[in-house]
This record gives sequence, structure tokens and C-alpha cells, in this order.
Amino acid sequence: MRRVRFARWAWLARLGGVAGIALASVTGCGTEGAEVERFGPEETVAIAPREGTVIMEGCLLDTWQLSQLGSNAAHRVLRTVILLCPSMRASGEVAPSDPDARAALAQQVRAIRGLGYRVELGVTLADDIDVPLSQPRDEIAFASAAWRQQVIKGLQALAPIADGIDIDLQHVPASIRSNLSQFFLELGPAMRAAGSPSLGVFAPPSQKDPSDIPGADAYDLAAIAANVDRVRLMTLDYSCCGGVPAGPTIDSGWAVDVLRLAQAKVGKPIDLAVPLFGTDFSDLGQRPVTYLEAMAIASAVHAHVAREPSGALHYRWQDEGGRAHETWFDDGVSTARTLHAWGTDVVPAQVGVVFYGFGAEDPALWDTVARGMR
Amino acid sequence: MRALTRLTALGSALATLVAATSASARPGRLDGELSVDVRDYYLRSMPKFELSDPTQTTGRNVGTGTLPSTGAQHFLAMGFDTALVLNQRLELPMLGLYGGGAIGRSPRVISSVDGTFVTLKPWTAGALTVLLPGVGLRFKERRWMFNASVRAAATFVWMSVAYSTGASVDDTQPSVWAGTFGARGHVEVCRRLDPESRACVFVEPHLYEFGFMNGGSAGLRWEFGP
Repeated sequence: MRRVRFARWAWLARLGGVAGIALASVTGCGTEGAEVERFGPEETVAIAPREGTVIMEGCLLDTWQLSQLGSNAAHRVLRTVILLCPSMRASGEVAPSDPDARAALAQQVRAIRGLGYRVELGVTLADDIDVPLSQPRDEIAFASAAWRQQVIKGLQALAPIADGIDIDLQHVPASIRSNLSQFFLELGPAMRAAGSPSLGVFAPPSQKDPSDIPGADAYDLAAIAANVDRVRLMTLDYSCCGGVPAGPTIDSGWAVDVLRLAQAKVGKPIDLAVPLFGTDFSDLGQRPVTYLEAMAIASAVHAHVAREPSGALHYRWQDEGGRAHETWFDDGVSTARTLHAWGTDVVPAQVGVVFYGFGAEDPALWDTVARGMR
Repeated sequence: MRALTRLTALGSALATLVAATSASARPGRLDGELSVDVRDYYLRSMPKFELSDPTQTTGRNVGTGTLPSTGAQHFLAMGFDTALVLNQRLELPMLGLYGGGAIGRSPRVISSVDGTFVTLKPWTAGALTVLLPGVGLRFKERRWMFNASVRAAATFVWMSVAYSTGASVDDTQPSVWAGTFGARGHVEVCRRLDPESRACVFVEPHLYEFGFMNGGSAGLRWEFGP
């Protein structure tokens, strides 16, 4: 009797065992897989085609940059090149004023046009060694009608060289708000009179009103936008400035909030900026780094480079002096993810993208982004 | 896990009750049947998750959107089921309930909502199914019983997500979930253990569950009834 009962349950035990082994072999134990399903090193993500602009800090492109602009991928992504070159001085002069330098700049513009791009000139406000003016000097300059007129005259002289002028004022004080609006009120008609096809402004990435960024309230966007053709929101340096922990140069969601605040005030075309450079954080401060420099340091110090969900890369390291660093930077993958996150349901199709820091990018960036736009 | 333990205890109690009532089953009358099972519940494609309300994360207020499917997923699930049997031939599945958690290796999936990157963690997924009435046939051959039926079901799945803002990750948000009504087939083969209980193996194709022919279940079942 006992043997019969045993036989009955042995059959059940065998059945259960087989099922259990099958179940275990199919499944496992409910753990995270090692690889990311959607995004990976060879990923291609869909990217909405947008008006593409690249900004180069300087007057003349080097051979690498010219080569990049000549590529099919860059042509697919970019339409406009901005040379961040001329500079307004506290004296009212607009540099470069040297005839040979201006001729070289004009020649550079022609060369880039020859590659099939529009070329605009980004104009900064700085001293002779390209350091932004102090805040008191900013206040004195913009408050002076004579200074404004002299600068506008200088910009009019530059206008015929290029396809547009963009004003890039960095670190101006909020106290110049009314005078800055007055400056654009005078500049807009003057540039149109000079035949400049386009006038743009680089605006700080405010997420709130009043702004959460020091000095950003200098920009009365509604008033300024009435006199320009395009507003380029500098959604860069997300992890910027003293006391802020190290982090990525851009956060795609933050940029969307910045855009929405600006859209409520600006009826003109808007660009969002995407950084091509990275940032090295240490207790000495922050330093922009190129992709190749960041990768070279990581290789030299055998650092483990981690990738965030946004795709941003980062690692910690120690320099020869024993100082701790944390370096964050982007590559083609992270930039493509940011652009992918800006689908047309989130960022309207007419919003453009301006890539900042031409020459600092991952060499594979244009190809990666162009692939996503197919 | 605690929920599964409670579920098992509930199933055992009901099994005792049904076994007692069905002992008097006779041909030509309606009998009750109760079963408990353990199964591999498989979705060939997990559903998309609709975020219909904004989410306040540590970084920003994230608007509405849709998170993508995380692909195929296995669950280990346990539960109980009830049925009525007419004339030992017509089977009317009634109500049942089972739930379980993800098993196997599941890669994370990164997506974005309203510009913010969201990491879906399918290895934290859970599933709960309410089995609804249906109809089927069964017949017996000596110690063996064969059964086939179709029935309705309501299924809910959920999983944890994490929102990324800058260098910070907010994984304190509630799980995302999706639900559907569906239909599924059921085929089983049972061997009688004693006059009132059987051990069965079954397969249950998901005729519709977040999509047509979207996976199925397979497992072991213990049935109590005539």
C-alpha cells in the first residue's frame, strides 16, 4: 500500500521537477540585464529634422573644422555657421578693425559659403584680450547713447560680410535691462537699413521669471524679440557655477522648460543650444574640455567612464598635484539622445538647434545625428 | 511575496471547502471545482505605459506622455481559479485570481517623457490577473482528464521607473502600470490523484492581452472537484 502511494506521488514529483527545470531554464531569477535594450553603443535613435546651426568660437576655422563642414553628415544636420568673432569694445569700436583681419574674416565667410552654408557673425562684448567687460563698464556703455550709436555703426559696417549678425552678451548685469532693450530697439532698424538679412540674439536659459540666473533679467525678451529675427536660447552650462555639484552640460528636460518660458514671450523663431564641449570640475573651478581631451585623460588615468541615462559621460580622476577632478562630457550618442528626447510633440518642429563649440565635438557626432534624421 | 503567501492560503482554504461540497457530485447536476496553480506567465510584448498626469520629480514637473514597451517578459505567478461543471462535460470557468513577479534577466529600457529621461526597470515588474467567466469542454478517460476552454480576463502589469535630471536620479516615484481586458484559451491534461483531486499541466495562449496572440501561460495546476 505504501509503495502504491509512493508511486503516485513520485509521478507528481517527476512532473513538478521537469516543469521546474524548464521554468528555470527559460527564465532565471528576475534580475537586471547587463545591456540597455533601447540605446547602446551602436544605437540609432530617431531625431526630428530641425534648422541646424553650429557656433565656432573664433574667426577662422582650422582644417579639421573645414573638413567636418565638407562632410555629407554635417550638410544633413547644419544649415548655418556662426563665427563668434567680432567684439564690441568699451570704447565703441567693433573689432576686428584691422583691414587685413577684416579681409581675412570676409575670406573665411566666403570659403564657408562655398561649402554650402549660410554664415553669420556672433558679436561679443569684451576687452582687447576677449575678457567680458566688468559690470560697471557694461552699465556705463549701454547707458551711453553715443556708445550705442558708435557700436551700431560698427556693426552696420560688418553686416555686408555675412548673412546675419548675432549679439552674444555674456554676464551682463540685470541693471542694464532698459538700456539693453533700447540698444536692440536702435540696432534692429539700423541692421535692416544696412541690408543685413538677419539679426539674432543669444539669450540666457532662464527657467523662471524673474530669472534664476544671475544677470539674466537684463534681457526683456518680449521687448528684444520685437527687434530681432531669431532668439537663440543658450541652454548650456546646466551644472554651472560655484556651489553646484558636478554634472552634465545640458539637461534635456530643463531645456524644454527654458523653451516654454521663452515661447510665452517671444513670437520669433527660437533655437535651443546643444553643447559640443564638456566640463572638468575641480575645486579650482570649471574648465571646458573637448571630447578628445576628455577621452585622452580618461585613457591616461585609466578612469572608468560611466554613461548616464541621458547618455552623458563622466568619470572621476586625480591630477598630478593630487587634486580631485570630475569630468562630464558628451559624445554622438548623448547628443543624439538629447535631440531624440526633443520630439516634435515636446519641442515644436520650427524650433531650431544650435550646436555650441564647433571643433570640441566627438568626431562621430555629425554622422550619428545625421543617421538619426533619416 | 506576502500577497502571494496570502493568496496561497486563501486558495487552500477554498480547496478544502469545494472538495467537501463536491464529494456529493452526481451526473446530471452542477458541481463546483477549485484549483490552485503555479505558472510561467509570459508576455511577448509588454504594454506601453500611458502617463496621463504630470509627475513632480526632484528636478522638474514632467508632463504627460507614453513610455514604450520593454519587450518580452516572463513572470512567475501563483493563484487560484473556480469553475462550475455541468454533467461532467460542460465546464464554465468562473472567477480566479493570480499574481506574480518578473523572473529572468531583463535589460533596462531608457526612454523620455516631456524631455526628461526615464529608465524603466522591467526586472521589477509585477502582474495581476483577474480571470473572468468563460466556457469549455472536458472529458475523462480512465485516470486522465482533458479540458479546453476560452474565457475573459482582466490583467494589470506594473514596474518601477526612475526619472533623471542632470546628475540626479529620482527613483522614488510610484510604479507605472497598464491594464487591459483580454481573452485567453486554456488547454490542460490532468491525472487523477484521488477521487477528488487531480494534478494537471496546462497551457494558456493569450488570444488577446495588450495585443493579439501576446504570449501565454504554462504551468502546473492542482484541481479539487469531481
